[in-house]
Amino acid sequence: MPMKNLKNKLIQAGIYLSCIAFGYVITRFFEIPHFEISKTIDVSNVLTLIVTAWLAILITTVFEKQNNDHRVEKDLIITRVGNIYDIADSLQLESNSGRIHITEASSSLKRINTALNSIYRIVDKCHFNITADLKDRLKNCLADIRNTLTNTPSLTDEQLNSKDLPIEIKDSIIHFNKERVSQLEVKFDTLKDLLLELQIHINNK
Amino acid sequence: MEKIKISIRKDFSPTPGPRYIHEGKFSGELFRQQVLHPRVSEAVEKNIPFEVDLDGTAGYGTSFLEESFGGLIRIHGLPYEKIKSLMSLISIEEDYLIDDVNEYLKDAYEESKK
Repeated sequence: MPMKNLKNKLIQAGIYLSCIAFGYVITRFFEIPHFEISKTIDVSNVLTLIVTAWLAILITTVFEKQNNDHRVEKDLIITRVGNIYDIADSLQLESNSGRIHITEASSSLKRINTALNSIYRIVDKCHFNITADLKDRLKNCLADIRNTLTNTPSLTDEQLNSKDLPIEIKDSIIHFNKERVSQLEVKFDTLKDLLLELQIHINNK
Repeated sequence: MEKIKISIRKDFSPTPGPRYIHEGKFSGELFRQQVLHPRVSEAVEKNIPFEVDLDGTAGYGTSFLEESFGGLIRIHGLPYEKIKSLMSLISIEEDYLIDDVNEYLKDAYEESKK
């Protein structure tokens, strides 16, 4: 590592020396019309030049580092949102089959909700925030999915024995009729759209 | 002051199930009959607060919670106002469940007035 640093410094020094030599050659052998190259240097101009160059390097380095840090933060959070998208996608696939275990449905929804809350907490510690409107829309969408997916109505025995209920549970497996499957599909698509919106929202910050 | 504590994970199951007993294991109906109703009745009779901890489970289906809490009023006829004043809920993992449970209690109360 120290050898590499030394090599880099030697290359830099070489570049600087080449620039100075190039400047000398220009003034010595070429005459540019309407321009006169002074043979003397004002010390205050040299100082101004050094300070300006130093500031330019400093500002570029600091901003670049800051931008890089923010980029990494955003990428990490966007990946976490992508993980939620994957859970939603697999839950949608399961529910599209018309049957899903009640524990699997409930636990997947809990994972989505807790992962989202964890993202909100992380974002609060970063340099940007997520709008309350987007949070509300996600919350309502998830509540809607949870109800459609796991809420079996409180029914009388007569109603329970009737055929083609939108949702019924046997041996802890939830069975949906075709209409309910279609409803779920639409709601999951809305959730996926909102998650994509969240990713874009974070990326644009 | 003495307080009755109920943890769904410890006192019932870490994997709560459907609404009714005939629908599968660890139903809301079973939880209400075995755990929630006896303890809440005791709290109401003795006028002592009770706390229900919803955390630590795999997650809840809507009907499990509705049957458990709404059933206290709908099936057992416990007084809504008393339950509201004595009950405290813990749900750090899924904070929205607190609003949901309060809603189920209110709906069951409104239904019982008809």
